[in-house]
Amino acid sequence: MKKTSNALKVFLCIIAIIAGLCLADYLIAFHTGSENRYVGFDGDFSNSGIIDENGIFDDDPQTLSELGDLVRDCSKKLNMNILIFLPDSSRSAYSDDDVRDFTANKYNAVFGENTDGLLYYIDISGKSPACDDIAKSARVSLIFPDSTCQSIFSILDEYLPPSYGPVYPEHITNAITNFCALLESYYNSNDISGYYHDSTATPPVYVYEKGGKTYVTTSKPPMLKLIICIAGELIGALTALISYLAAKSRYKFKSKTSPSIYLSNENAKFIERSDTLIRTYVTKHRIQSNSGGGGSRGGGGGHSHGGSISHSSHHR
Amino acid sequence: MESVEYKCPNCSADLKFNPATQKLDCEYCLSSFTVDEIKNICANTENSIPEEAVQMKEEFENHTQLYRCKSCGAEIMADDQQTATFCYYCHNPVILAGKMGGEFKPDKIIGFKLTKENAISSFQKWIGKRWFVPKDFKSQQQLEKLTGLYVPFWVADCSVNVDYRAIGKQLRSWTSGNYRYVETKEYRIVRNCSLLTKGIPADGETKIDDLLMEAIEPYDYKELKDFSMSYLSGFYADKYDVDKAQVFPRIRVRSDQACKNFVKSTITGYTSVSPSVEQFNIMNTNWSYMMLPVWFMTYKYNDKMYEFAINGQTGKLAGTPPLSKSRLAAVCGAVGAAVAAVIILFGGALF
Repeated sequence: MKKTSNALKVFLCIIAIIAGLCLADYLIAFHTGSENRYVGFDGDFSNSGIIDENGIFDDDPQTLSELGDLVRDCSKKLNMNILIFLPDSSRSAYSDDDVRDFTANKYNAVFGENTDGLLYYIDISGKSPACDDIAKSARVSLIFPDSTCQSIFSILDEYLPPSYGPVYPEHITNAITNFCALLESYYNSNDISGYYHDSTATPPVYVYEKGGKTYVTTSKPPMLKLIICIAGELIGALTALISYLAAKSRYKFKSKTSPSIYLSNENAKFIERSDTLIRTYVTKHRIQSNSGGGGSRGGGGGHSHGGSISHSSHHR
Repeated sequence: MESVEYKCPNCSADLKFNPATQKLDCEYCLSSFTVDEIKNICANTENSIPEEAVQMKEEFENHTQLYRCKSCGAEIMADDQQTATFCYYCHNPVILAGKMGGEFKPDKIIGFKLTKENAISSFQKWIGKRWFVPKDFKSQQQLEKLTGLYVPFWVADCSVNVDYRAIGKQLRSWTSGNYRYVETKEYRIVRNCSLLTKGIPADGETKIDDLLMEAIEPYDYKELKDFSMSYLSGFYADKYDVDKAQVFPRIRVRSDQACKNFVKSTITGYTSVSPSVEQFNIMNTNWSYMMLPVWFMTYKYNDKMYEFAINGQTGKLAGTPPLSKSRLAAVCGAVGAAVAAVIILFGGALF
């Protein structure tokens, strides 16, 4: 009866602790956080368009103007800023990180930090290999994740020449036309999940959606916080359990004395003590050879920028 | 009922055996006497003094008394100095019940060398490393329960004939080209010998845990003395309630283990050894019945009795410390909570 009562007490205690932890996790995950820096799209699509630094359309301003209208039209439809940048040869010495740094800062300079939008950098500077980049800001990072952008790059490869080949205005026209079409086809603002962490931003920020609202904050998304809390609690519980069992093991009975102490060498008389070799044999087996695979190496840039910019880059 | 009382020849106060000096001391006039001196002085009352076996038996019967605890039924042997005492198992008062038979007279005895203060100090040192014992377990009141007890032991010298045969394998391996070679050498190992295991003790007391007594071994038999009632003065003593026939299986197991360990120690240099014959035949056993000194303590916690024993000669301590699970759980919970808090804090869940 007493044992049952104790077991019930322990059970209720465990239930109370779990309930308390759940409440604490909920409060930490959903009711803590820093200021939301999200600006969004103000409906002004006039800044969207094309910057032809390269001058590839210098001889055909009409086409450039039509392409600009196409981009602005797309911007209006998708409620986000869109800027297409065509660099000149002065940027051919840019490293990939320099390109990403430039696109991020350029976007922020044109549209402002934490606004919804993207900048598509079509590398026609003469750099080889060419590094195309899509710098995405705020909510657009979630709408067009890297996998989507890589699909777009793959499709656009059909319209853009390789870096060692000559670039003609038709290439760019086709690329921009298809780029806008692809943006519209891939755009689905209702299917946003996960979060994006921009560690190169100053300060580093997280972009996520909660309750239909976009957040750009320095604090982690609620689900990530929840996972950290649960992981911390599980590790803490495991630590407590291990320390409990380790401490408890010290409260066991000490092992008994070995009886070997009651037999000394001088009380042993051998009648026969022999070790006789009876057989020798040799076995052999083939060694299985294992070849290891090569490793892959990746690296990140040391660039920094404001706002919440994510990048998808592609080499041609 | 007659009793044995060791009186100081100078002031007639009671004498008590002092483990530190191995003498009988008078607490009033500070006189001190060796066991032999007291044997001569108390020749007419000391039952172990007469050399004739029959007389010795009668004397022992006359001067030893049996107490039976009405609470737990334990039987306790003591001299007349302990007229009002407590059961060392349940700490309840025990009542003089009758005399003890002369066959319970031990052959030998090892006197207490460890004083109660030494025993308490040893116990405190041992328990000091264990933080999660109940608080009152370390209390002075609990320490006062430490009781000097002479435990009856059967001690056996066993002559053992050993027949051990095994196949031993030595492996040597090397690589040549794409092949791994393993050379195996098989040896026939034979060990025929006669061994003598000396002084394996087994307590003749059912109420004390056998493992507890085995854990505080060994005793140094060089300090064995002929039994004298005077050694019991100031301590508790118990008569055996398990005869040597009953303890023999325990002795045999321990003797076999000792022999097996010895034989194995003579077999070296093999990668593996597979025994085919392992016979340890005890051909002859010489028995001694002796009283060995033990500082004994019990502690009741959560309806469970915990027993502790300290070798009264060497100070070796054994027992299962009681664990306050609630205190341990609280500390471990705090440690776990601290770890969780650090992870949550540095994991960035709060900011």
